Amino acid sequence: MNSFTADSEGNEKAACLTNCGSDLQRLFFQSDSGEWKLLPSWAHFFFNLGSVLEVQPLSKERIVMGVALPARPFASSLAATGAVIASLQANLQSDLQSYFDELCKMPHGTGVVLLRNDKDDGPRQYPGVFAGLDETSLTPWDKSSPKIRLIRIQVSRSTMSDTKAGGRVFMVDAKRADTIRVLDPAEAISLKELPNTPSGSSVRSLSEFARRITGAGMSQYVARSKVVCLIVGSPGTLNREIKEVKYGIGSDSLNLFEGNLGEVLRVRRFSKTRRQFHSDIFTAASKWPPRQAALGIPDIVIFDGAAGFMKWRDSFQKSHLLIMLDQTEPLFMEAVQRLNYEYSCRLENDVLPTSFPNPQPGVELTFFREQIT
Amino acid sequence: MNTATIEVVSRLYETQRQPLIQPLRAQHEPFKQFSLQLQKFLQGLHAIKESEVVVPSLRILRRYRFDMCAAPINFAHPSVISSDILERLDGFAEKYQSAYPGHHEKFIHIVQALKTLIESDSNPLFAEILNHVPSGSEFAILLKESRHIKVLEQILIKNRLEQQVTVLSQNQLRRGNACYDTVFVVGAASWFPEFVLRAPRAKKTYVISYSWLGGRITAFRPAFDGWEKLRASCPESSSSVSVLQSLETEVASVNEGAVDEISPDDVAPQINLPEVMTEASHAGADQSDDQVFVAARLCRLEDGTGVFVEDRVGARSLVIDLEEEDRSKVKRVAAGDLRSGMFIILRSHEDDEADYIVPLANGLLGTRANGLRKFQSKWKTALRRAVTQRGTATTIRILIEKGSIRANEVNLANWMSERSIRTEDRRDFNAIMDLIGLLSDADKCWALSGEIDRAHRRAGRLVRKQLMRLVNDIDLTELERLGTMRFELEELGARPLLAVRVAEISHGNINISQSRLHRPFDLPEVFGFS
Repeated sequence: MNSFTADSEGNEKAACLTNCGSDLQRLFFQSDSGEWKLLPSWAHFFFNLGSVLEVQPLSKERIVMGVALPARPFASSLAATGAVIASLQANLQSDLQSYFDELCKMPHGTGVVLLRNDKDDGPRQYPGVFAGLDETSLTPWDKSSPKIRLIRIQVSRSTMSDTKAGGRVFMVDAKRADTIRVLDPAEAISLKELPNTPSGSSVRSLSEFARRITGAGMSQYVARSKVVCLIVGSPGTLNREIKEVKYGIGSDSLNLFEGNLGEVLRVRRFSKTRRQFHSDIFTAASKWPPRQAALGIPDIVIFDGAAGFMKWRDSFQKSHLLIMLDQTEPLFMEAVQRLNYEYSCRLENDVLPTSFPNPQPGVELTFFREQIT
Repeated sequence: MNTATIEVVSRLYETQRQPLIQPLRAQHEPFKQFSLQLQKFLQGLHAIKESEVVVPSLRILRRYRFDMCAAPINFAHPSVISSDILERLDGFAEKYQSAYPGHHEKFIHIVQALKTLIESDSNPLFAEILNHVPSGSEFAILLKESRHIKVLEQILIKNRLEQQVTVLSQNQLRRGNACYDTVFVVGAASWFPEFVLRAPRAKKTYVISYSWLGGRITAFRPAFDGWEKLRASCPESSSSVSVLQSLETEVASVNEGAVDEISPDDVAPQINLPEVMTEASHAGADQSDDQVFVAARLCRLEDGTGVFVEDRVGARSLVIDLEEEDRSKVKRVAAGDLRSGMFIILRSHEDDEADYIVPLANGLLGTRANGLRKFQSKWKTALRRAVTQRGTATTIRILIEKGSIRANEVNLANWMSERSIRTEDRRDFNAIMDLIGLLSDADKCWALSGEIDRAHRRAGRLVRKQLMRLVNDIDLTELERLGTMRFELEELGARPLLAVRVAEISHGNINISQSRLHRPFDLPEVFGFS
C-alpha cells in the first residue's frame, strides 16, 4: 500500500512504486521559476492510480473508476504514466536464467526479434530465427572449465552455394536473454524470408530518465509495441503536458536526470515511426469512432474530461476505464449522473485493489466492477 | 489562456485541503425595507400581476433590486438607475392611481424608498468586503453577471483599489486554474455554479449578501454514489470542504415564509426560453409570398439578448469555442451542437444586416452580385408561390414526378429558404426549374447558382481564416471575462463581427420568419412570484 507521510517540513514522500528499481520518491518537476521541486502528493496519487489499475486482471470483469477533480490538468497524463510504468515492470524478466532455459527449448526456426546495441549504429532490432544452441567455454584451453550455453539467432539468409551453411548468426548468453523476444506466429518470418544483409531497424533509444523512472531496460522498452493505456482527450493539450513539462529523477535537485513523460509513455500518435509505443491518444472531438484494429485493446482507457467520456464510453468495452472529470466543466454533472447509474448496476465485488492510493483533498472517487461483454 | 503548470495546479490542490467558506451579511436597513416592501407588494398583486402597468413597472424595480444584490455598486450608480428611469416610475405611479387605486399608495412608498436609497448613494456590500480585508491585501470579487464587471472596475479605480482587486466572472473562474487568497462571491450561493464552493479557488471564500437575502451555504452531498463508503475504506483520506457555521447562527434561519427574508429565486431574474419561443412562433403571422419560415433554436446570450439560429441539416453557425485548441477554436457548428460557453459570431449591433457572409460574398462576386441575387430571388420566389398555390404535399409529389430524388417537407423548406443557395443534387434542381417553367434554362441557372455558392463558401473560409488568426493572436482574457468581444475584419473589407457567449440553448425548435435569424433581441426577464 502506498501511504503518504508528511515530514516536519510538510513535504510528502511517496513510497517506492514497486521493488524493481523505480524510485518515485526522488522525482522532481521544474517549477515556473526554473527551480526543481519534489513532485507533490497529488501527482503521486495519479501515478499510483494508473499503476494500481494496470495490474488488475482483465478477464471477465473490468474496473470502472470515476474521479472528480478540482482541476483537469496532468491527472490523465500522470495516471497513464503510472500505468505504463507498471506494465513495463510487470514484464521485467526478473529471472533471466529461467527465461533463457525456456528459450533454449524453442523449436528450430522459431521467429524472434533480437535487440543489439551496435557500436556505430546504436540500438537496433533484428528479425531472426532460432538456430539452435551452442556451447563454449570462457577458457577454451582448460578442458575442465565449465561450458556456457549460447543461443544462436540467425538474422540473414545463407548466400553460399552450400545451402547448409547458415547466414549471419548472433550468439546470446543467459545474461542477455532479455534481448530476445519471441514473435507471435502471425508476426514471425521464416528462414527463407530473412534478408541477405541484416541491417536491422533502428530503435528509439531509451533515455536515462525513462530508464531510471521505470527500472526497465532497453529490451523491455522495445519488447513490444502495445497501447497499454489510451487517453481520450485533446491531443494538443495532452501533448503539452506530456512533452513540455520537465521532470527529473535523482538523489537531489542538483543531480538529476531530466526528461518528460513522453519518454516513458511513448505515445504512438506522436511517434514518427509509429513503432515502440506504449500509449496513444484518441481525440475526444473526433467525428469518427476509434479504429480498434489500429489501437488494439488497451489495458486502460483514460477519459480526460466528461465530453470524451459521454461520447465514446461505449467504444471501449474490454478495457478498464478511468474517467477524469473536472468539477468545473460544463458536462461534469451529466457524466456523474451517468456513472452513478452505472454504479447502481455494478457487480457485487466492490473491494478495492490492494495498494489503492489514498484520495487527495478535493478529489472524489467512484469505483466499481462490471462484466466484460 | 488556460496554460496550467504543475505549480499552478498544486496550489489548487493545496487550496482543497482546508478551504474556508464563510457567509457574510451586509446590513442596510433602508435597502432591506425597500426590498421587503417590494416583495410584499408583489405578493399582494394577484389578478393584476400580468397587467401592462404592473409588469414593466415592477420589472424596473426588481431589476434594480437584483443588480444591487449581485454586485457591490452604489445605490445611485448610473448603470443601474437614472433620472429617466425615475421619471418612468413616476409615470407608472400615475397609471396605478387611475387603473389600480388600491395599490397606488404602496407603489408610491416603494418608489419613495428607492429615491431615498439613491440619495444615500452608499455601497454597503463594498463596505462589508473592505471590512474583511487587511489593508493592502489582494483579493478577488466574483460576480454573477459579467455586465457588472466594468462597472465595478470603475468603482475600484475611483477608490484606488484596482491594483489590489481582481474582478472575476464565473466563466473566468471556471476555465482558469488560478488560485486566490481570498474571493468574495457576491450574492446568493445558489446563483453560482456548484464548483465555486465545491472546488473552491481560494483559501478563503466569502459569500457576501444582504441580511434579508435568504439562502444558506450547505455542505455538498458527494457527487458520486458510493463515495462515502469508498472514503471510509481509505482511512487516511484528507478532509473536504469546511464551512464555518458560526456566522450562520447570527442571522435568521432560512425558512419558507420567514417574514424578513426573501428567497434568492425571487430576486434573480430568469429567462423562460420556451415562453419566448412560443411568443415568437405566434408572431410574424404576415405570411406574404416572400416570408419564409424556418426551423430555429433560441440561444440566450450572456448580454441578456436572444438570437435564433437555423436548425436544419447543413445550416451552421460560426462560433469560437475556447475549449478547443488552436485551429479548432473557430468552427462552424450545427444548432444541435451548440453548447453554452461557446461564443456565437454575429454582426455587430450597429449593422442592419444580420448575415455577414452575404455582403462579403457579394464583394467577391463584384459587379455580377446584383444580377445573381436577383436571379436567386426570382426562382425561389417562384417556388414559394408554387407551394402556396398547390400546397406542400402536392408540390412534393409533382417534383418527384419531375425527377426529384430528395423532395420532402424538410428539403422543400430548405430549397425555398434564401439561406440555402441551391439543391445538392442536379436532379432536384431540374425538377424545381421544371415546376416553375424554367427547365429550358436549367443549365444556365445551375451554373449561376453554383457561382453564388462558390462565393459564399469562399467568403465563409475567409471569415473563418481571419477570425482564427485574430483569435490565436490576441489576448482572449477579456472575451472570457466579459462574455463579448468585437472583432475587426478590416482586411476583408468586412464589417466588424461580435462574439457573444451563449448562456443557454433551447432544447427544441420552432418555425420563425427567416428574417429573424441571427438578429439579437432583448429577452424578457421573468422574476418568480412568491
